Amino acid sequence: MTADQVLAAAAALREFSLEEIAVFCDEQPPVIADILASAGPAVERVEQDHEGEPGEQHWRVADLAGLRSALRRGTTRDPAGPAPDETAGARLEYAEETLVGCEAEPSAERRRVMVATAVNHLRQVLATTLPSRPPWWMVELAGDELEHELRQHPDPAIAARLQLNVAVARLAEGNVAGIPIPTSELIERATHFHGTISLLGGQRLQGLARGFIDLATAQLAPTAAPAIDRLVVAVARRRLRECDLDAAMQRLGPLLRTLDTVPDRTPCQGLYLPLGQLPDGSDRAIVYADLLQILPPDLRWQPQSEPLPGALVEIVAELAASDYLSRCARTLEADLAHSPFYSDSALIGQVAHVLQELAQRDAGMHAQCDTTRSKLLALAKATVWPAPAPRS
Amino acid sequence: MPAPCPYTGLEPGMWRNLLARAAIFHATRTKLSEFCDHVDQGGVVQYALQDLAMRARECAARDVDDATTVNLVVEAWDVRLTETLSLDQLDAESRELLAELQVLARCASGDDPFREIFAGITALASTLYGDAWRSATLGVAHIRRHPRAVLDPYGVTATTPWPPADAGAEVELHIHCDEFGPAAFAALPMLLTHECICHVPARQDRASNDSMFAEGLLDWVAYVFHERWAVKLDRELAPAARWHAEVLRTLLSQHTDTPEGRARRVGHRAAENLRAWFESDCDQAPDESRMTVARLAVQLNKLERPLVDKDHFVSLLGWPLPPPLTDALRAWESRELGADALLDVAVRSA
Repeated sequence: MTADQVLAAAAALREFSLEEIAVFCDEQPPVIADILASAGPAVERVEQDHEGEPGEQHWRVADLAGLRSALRRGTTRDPAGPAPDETAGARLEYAEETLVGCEAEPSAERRRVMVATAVNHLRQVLATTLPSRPPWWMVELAGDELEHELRQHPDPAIAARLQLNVAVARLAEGNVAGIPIPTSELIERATHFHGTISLLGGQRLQGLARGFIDLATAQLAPTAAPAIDRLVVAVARRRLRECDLDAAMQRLGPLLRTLDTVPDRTPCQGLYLPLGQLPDGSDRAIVYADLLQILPPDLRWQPQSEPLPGALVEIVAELAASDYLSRCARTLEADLAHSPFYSDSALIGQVAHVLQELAQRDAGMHAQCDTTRSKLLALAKATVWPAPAPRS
Repeated sequence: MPAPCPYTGLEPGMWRNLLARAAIFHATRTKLSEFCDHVDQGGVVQYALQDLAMRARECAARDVDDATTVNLVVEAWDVRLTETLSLDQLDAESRELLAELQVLARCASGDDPFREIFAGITALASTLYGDAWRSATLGVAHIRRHPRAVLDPYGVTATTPWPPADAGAEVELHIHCDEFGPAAFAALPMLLTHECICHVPARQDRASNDSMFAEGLLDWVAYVFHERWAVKLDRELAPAARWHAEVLRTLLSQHTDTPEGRARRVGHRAAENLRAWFESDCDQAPDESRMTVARLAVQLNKLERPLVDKDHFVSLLGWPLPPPLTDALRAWESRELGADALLDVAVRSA
């Protein structure tokens, strides 16, 4: 047994010093040297022209096939390969945690590798669920066979979990490769997941579901648009994340539809857009939601709808209120027009700063503004998937 | 005159308490497996172990040096063992074991057995890693709770904080004093081998306890080397060290509810798949394939590359192995490709 171990180490190392091979064996160097010497001519000592420490003994395998043949004598090879894999559960959990963790990875290249790692593990799990048992790397996440199998799965909770994994993995792959998934499909998925959220127990799966929401909205986030448009989408995306998961999934479809139907994907022309005057003299307008938080309490307004939930509100306001909002919006727009910031977080931070300055002009608004500012800064700090990489 | 505790942050009394027991486990190491078996069965040997813990706590509280502490504990335990051995109703097996433990324990010395085990492992690991080896020091600390939620006899764990200091890495041995018995002592070589194979020489950008490379594939390799090194480290401790390494391995691989547990399970599986591939596709003999996986993992661990790249490599080791990787592995196996280029192929497939 000892001799076999030494010769196996020799076969693995091919050319080695006695000291090197000794760490691969449980015998001491003199015994190892004797074993190697007795294995000639398959193993031979290298006497000359070898760089190394003086006095070091070097050996090499001269006949690898012969050595292996000797090592295999008396052993039988198992043609079936390794024993059945029982790591599916651990793999799936790892894939889920990696997909959830990707959004916090600042390096795009590392994020790309992490996504690919998660997808590899997921494919290995999915391969075992398909009746055709394809090699795992052939599993098509967008394939009909997989879709059909997951729909037919006898356990609805497992089906829901795997469907969510597949959807997030596809979105993540698309995000890092710059290949979007059609919005209509995302809306359909959002509706489906809203119906199965109750089956997704546990923090990890809830995090994965939020990852789906985040990746889906990231796909429609403007990257080259003016700062104002980037701001409102960034705020809308982050506010959606803050919602209860059931509500967030319910709102996702309408939000995606809104973001997708605007021709240039820029949802507004400014932070205060007048829509006209009502017969009673009050103004209708679409306004950036956070401006309403610094409106003095004596100025009255009523919300009508949310054209972009979490970011833009349609309101009816008395004249004084609409004047105030319009002025604040212009100040904020002017500041954002010269924004040196590219990142969404920095833009939101900039808005928090400007809103504080605006509120400080009105005595009594400090406390209200502090709250708004804190909330905005918390939004700025939230980790979200970035907009998809440009297609390579 | 008491010597200061050799480990920063460990109270002298706690140190002497741990040292006294470790010294006795070291002295009785040829009987450690039987000691553990009897402790598991309960009864008089378990009482003897509890008594040892009590004597160690008592003697460690005295302001004396390490060697004196060990002598005091040995003497006190000796008296109690003599009393126990005088009992008429003692079963023959327990009597024989306790008598042997008594004789062996009398040889216990005040030398630090933790440092001795660590020095042996670092000497072998530094030869394995060559120029990539990073010097390492040992720290010993006391933890107030068992390292795992489910209690087992291995109330000990080890960690290597990342990033390492310029002067080298520090391996920290964390011992739960109340649970420090013969099984925990016998598991020390494996725990320290894991740190020295997986973490001390690692060249990467960060550490992660859910890394399938660092905590999984390399952990499998650490077991391979522990198996090889056990006798070289301490011929007398080797049987118990090997046995408890395997028990610990089984126990830890059941903890799939933790990131480390998942990484270990999937990483070990990746290593077995890779091994099977070397045998089936490269015609390697069984033990050769084990050594080849170990050699490859060590080469990858030496590479100054992001840990996510190495984890990605492990993710490709699902059975059957995918074609772009098998081509590259074949080239690596035949010395046509270096580990760096092999990792490039893996990452390019991402």
